[in-house]
Amino acid sequence: MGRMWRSLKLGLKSLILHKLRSSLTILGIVFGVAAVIAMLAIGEGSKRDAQERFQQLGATNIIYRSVKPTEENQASGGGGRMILNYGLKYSDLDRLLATVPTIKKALPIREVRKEIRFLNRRIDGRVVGTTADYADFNYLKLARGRFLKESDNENFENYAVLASEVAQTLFPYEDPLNKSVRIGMDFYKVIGVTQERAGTAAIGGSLAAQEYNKDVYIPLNTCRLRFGERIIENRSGSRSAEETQLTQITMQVGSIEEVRPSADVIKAAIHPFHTKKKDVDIVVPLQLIEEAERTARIWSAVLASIAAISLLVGGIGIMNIMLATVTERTREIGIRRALGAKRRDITEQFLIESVVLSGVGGIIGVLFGVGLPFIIDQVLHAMRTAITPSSILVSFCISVAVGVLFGLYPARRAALMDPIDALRHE
Amino acid sequence: MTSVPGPNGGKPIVALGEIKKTYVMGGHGGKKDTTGPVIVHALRGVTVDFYPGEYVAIMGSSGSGKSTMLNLLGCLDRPTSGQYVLGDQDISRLDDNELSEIRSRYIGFIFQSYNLIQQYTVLENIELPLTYQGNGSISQADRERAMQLARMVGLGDRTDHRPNQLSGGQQQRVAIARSLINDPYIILADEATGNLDSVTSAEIMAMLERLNDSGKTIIMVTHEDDIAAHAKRIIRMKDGMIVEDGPSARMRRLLDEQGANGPSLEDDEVARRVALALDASGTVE
Repeated sequence: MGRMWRSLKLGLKSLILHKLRSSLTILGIVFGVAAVIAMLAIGEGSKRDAQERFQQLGATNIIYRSVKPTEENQASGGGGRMILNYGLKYSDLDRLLATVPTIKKALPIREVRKEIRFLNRRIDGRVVGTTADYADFNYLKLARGRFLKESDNENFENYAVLASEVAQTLFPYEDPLNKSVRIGMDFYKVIGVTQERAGTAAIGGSLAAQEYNKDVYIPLNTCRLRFGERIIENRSGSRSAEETQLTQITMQVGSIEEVRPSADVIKAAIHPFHTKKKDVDIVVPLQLIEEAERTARIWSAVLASIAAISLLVGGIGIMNIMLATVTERTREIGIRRALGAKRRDITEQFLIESVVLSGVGGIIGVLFGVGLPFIIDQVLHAMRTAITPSSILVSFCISVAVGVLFGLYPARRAALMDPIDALRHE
Repeated sequence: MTSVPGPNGGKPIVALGEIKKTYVMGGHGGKKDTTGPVIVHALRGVTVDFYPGEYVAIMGSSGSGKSTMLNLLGCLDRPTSGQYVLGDQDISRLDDNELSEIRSRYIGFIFQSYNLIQQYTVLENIELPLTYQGNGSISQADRERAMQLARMVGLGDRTDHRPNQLSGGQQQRVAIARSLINDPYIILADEATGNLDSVTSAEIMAMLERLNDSGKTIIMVTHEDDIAAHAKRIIRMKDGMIVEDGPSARMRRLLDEQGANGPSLEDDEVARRVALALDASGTVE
């Protein structure tokens, strides 16, 4: 199309002819497009952030946790002397494994806060009694040695795997492997050290923030044998005792599709035994992921609509300047009409010009829109951002559409001019 | 598009029959409209024929209807009533699109204020009417022809200049070249020398004369007698009517020189010059 190409060239020419005016006009589009891309990038970034956080909990996992009942829910509220018995039982675990066929793996965990010592060095940490699967479930990687094995649990071994901070505090200078650390009254042989792992944030009320770097992992059976189920605290005159068997059971099902039905069955298998006090709680990471996605979507929509308003304002700017251009070039329109241009030709010409304006604005906007999130993320490290190619494409297309939409009226006005009047126009 | 007989077919190339044009001024019916619509009769029934190879000057004071006449001839406007046959096609009832097509193919315009497109080079200005024909592409042959026309008007070395780099006379020469690019039936010149000094005017008029000699039909509107004197036929208008129509002094001289009876001689002369023109467009200069 020779004429299209000419119109395009002419559009660019008249854009260059009025540099200041054109650049001011396209600013609106530049900001609009840049804002759309940047906002979508920020929205996408935070979405991925949340997703990743929950992904670490495992999308196919279902987590049950013991929750210490609140005062009013403690059924036997016999004051400080009574032993508070709550939480998941070994029988719950057995029942689950026996009744829910979709559970591929179940990971029982018992957590106890204890002081861990080596020589005169000590650290307050969390002793986690668990089985060999723990490392897989929690994406723990070993820096040295090995993690617990199934046989360690079966044999009630006094083995311990130290998390990075524990290892550094207790063994600043020496190799921790095969040394013995003291936990409570017993000694455990160090068989491995895990790599540092970032903690997870708290999720709702049911899953506290997890810090992995002050953990010590020991076989579950050893934990049960050494620490028992009762924890007695002496606190300024009053004595409180808790009895709990398992802190958490993490279950893994085969696929994402199985998560929801399994969660329902698992609930049905657990809740009848914990009706009196609300001492257990279920966490389904998949639901959290979906919820996070939903939130991120709303967030993105809000941000994008703010950006869209900027595009709208930009479009009005283009319409304004195109109307001025049409008036300014009335004479030219008259000449073209006299030389045989049809109304359609005139419409096309001015439409192309407004699209060139908005399109150039769109291209510059894309550059800014890609640059801005990059600076936020990589240079300022303020926020995680993720630019999706579709957001670039979409916002550029929107900028072109804005050019068509807001150029249509001025172009139409140019085309409908009477050629005789237009020729006479000074 | 239907074809027309050759310029020497003995048939008028333009035939106006009882052309009337009225404008309604005001009359929008608003509150302040106390006088009501005013009907202006710009043309009150004009019947005139133009033959191929003619060189006509339409004269008249302002308000005489000569501008309306030119607009109608140039297919920029439609008559209120009457018939306009261009070539052998009645175009008095065509719609806007069809009229545009007619303008791009059969009419050449030369304006008082040159009316070149400022953003375009000389060459692009000359080619402009072609871009509104068909699919608007410019072939190599078209470009050759545009170059040839530029050379013909003496601007062969300035084809990449812009109008604001040219003098008034040069701009008008570009306009002349532009009016020839589509090989039109008629060239309409609207006060073509109105903005030029007398020396440049003479140059332009000489150029138009050479075009006419080569067979082009030229109709010009002017109010200056010495410009009109270049034409062969002068039509005077008053109050929307033709009040006088006849050969110019120059034409009478030409006729006297030939010393024979008028019409047939004119035909002979036209025939001779058309033959000349057929291979002459590059050498008119």
